[in-house]
Amino acid sequence: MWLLTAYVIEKLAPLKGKKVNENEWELSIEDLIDFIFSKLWKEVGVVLNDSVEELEGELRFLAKLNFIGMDGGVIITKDKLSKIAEHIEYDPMREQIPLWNEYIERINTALPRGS
Amino acid sequence: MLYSRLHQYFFDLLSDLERKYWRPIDIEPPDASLYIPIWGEVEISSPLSNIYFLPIVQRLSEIKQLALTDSKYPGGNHTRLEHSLGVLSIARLIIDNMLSLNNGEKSIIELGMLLHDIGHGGWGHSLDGLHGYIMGLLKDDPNTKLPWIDKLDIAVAWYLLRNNDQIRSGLRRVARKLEMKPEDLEKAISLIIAEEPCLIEEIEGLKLRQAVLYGQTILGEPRGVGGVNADRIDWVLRDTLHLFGYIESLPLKDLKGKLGILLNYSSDIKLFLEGLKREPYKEGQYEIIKIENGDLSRRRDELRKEMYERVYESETKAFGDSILLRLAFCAAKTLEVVGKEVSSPSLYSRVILGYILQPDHLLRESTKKILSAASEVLHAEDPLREYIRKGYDLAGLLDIIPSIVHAVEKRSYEDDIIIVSRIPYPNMYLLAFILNGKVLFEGIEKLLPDLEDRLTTVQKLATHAHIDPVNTLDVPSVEAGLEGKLKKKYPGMVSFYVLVDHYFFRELFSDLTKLIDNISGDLDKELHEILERYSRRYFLHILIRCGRKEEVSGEMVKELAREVRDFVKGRFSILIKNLYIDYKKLQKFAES
Repeated sequence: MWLLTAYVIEKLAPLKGKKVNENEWELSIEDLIDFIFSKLWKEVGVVLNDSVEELEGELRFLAKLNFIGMDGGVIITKDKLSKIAEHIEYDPMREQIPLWNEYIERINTALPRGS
Repeated sequence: MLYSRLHQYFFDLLSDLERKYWRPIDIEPPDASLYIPIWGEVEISSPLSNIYFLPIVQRLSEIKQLALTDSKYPGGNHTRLEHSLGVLSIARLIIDNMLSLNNGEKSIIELGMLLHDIGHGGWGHSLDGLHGYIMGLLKDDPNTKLPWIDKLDIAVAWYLLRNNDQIRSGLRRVARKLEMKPEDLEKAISLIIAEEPCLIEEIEGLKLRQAVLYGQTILGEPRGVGGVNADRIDWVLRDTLHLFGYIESLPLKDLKGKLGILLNYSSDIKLFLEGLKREPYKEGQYEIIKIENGDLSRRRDELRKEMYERVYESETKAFGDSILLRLAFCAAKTLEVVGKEVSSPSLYSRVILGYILQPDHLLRESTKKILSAASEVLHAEDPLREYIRKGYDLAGLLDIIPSIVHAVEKRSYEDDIIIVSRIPYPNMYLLAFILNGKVLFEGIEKLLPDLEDRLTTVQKLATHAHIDPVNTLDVPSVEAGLEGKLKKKYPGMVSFYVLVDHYFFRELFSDLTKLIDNISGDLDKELHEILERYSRRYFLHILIRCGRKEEVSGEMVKELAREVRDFVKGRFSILIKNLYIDYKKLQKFAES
């Protein structure tokens, strides 16, 4: 689900990635895969993607929309990505649809702390 | 006194659930020899019989695969149990002809096939629109896993496998016979049902992992891996057979012959068999079953597409299903209101789950009882309570569903609005308007000229409404607003009801997802085409209960239809604007 993948990248990059400049971070695809398929599933029971191939398809889609850049095994976040993350984070529907909120809350719970 | 009726129903449901479908059954079941259309004889012996004969599994014999479809196609009243046995049969054909497995591995795969639909309740996919609500209730349970949103039945199946005492005690018996840990067996079956190869790391032991991967790729067609998809093969064929009699029921003995029944395309049989490969997966660690040659898959999917358009998501079926969704939503919400007074969240969640899991006939009767009692005690404190209370008005329709389905086929059009003017209703009659996606999407390209903004907004709408259509569209408020505005102006109109076709949003969500697979195209153009297509598709049913039909002239109906459309469109344009919020602009505005 590319909206939530975008949200995960935006939140994970500052915690696991490397700062490039004021608005951009680098995050390795390996770290993202580890988060989606190990952390989210094993620690908080959320399944966002069926397979790595599906996740990679979403990354190409986000790159086409210029929300991220791709350089080999590295994702580079773009300024516009934060807008998508805001769409998720401040979504008024979070209150009305508890399940939608639960996905976001569980992602937040799985994010590494204080890295 | 009146509330006590609801309390009584609440505890009756809890007691029925516990007694029939939760309590462990301590018997040694017999072997069984069954016979089903298409695949013929199905043998059920130990250890499979320990699960097959459990009431929670036998419940599937009282759940029609296609809910109300038999109102239009009387042959379509086959059950989920028949389909589950069909999937089991296909898996056995493949296991026996292609694989060398020990009894334990074979039993695990067979159990996965038999239990793959255990998370389904009555009224079939009509209630898929409730999955956000149901999962919202179950989410607090520490055992609840959240698969992605289109898989309510899988989430419920996982919940049952981890929480239902009847299934768990049955699996413990099976595990003893297979000399394995019960928790490993439960995990293995959960993973087969989920069809998620990436989750394989949960399972320890190469043999068990191999059984799970075989099971996943026989049952489904996991993305990135491929697979046989026995589930889809069986339901496409079985539904076609029961509804149209297309498939000859030939009890052929050999694999080629049996698979040759598939779609009656004999030239594809050889290709299909040649296309089935045992493949190493992930650097040769495990093996899967994969279909290389897509010819038969393509034919099967053509038939599937035809069935979707003609049957599963036809406008008449969508109309009937939207009534069922409304009624089940109202009954479940009533149970929640009562449950909050007399029990804990975990208990009332279980009661609501028990309500949904009931066989078709019990679901119908309990819905009527619950809504009857609710209509007497709930007051119009807010739009939601009024929406629930008015559900009872529609509960009477459950007894005359076939006549409604056929009445909807007689229609006229006014400015893109479908008008159905003679729906029977006890002592009154119903008028229906069916609105298309224009009420959502007309003007969206002007409102959001930037592709990314438009795509994000439409994706949010599709995602939210796919999870929970009633709350996303704020249907109770739309209904209250519509009635408040138009009831006085048209004195012959007694009540207004707004019903949603949730398939609209599931398909929209699915079509938006396909954009990801085709990024070489022009996204702007493709999104435009999707919005055009969904602007023409009908999804919102407005029912109006009328006093005497002679009070409602043809001209008045047309005028009313246009007013209804304009009102709804106005409400939804606010919804679209709210979905797209530029938080940075908002922040700047706040700062200024």
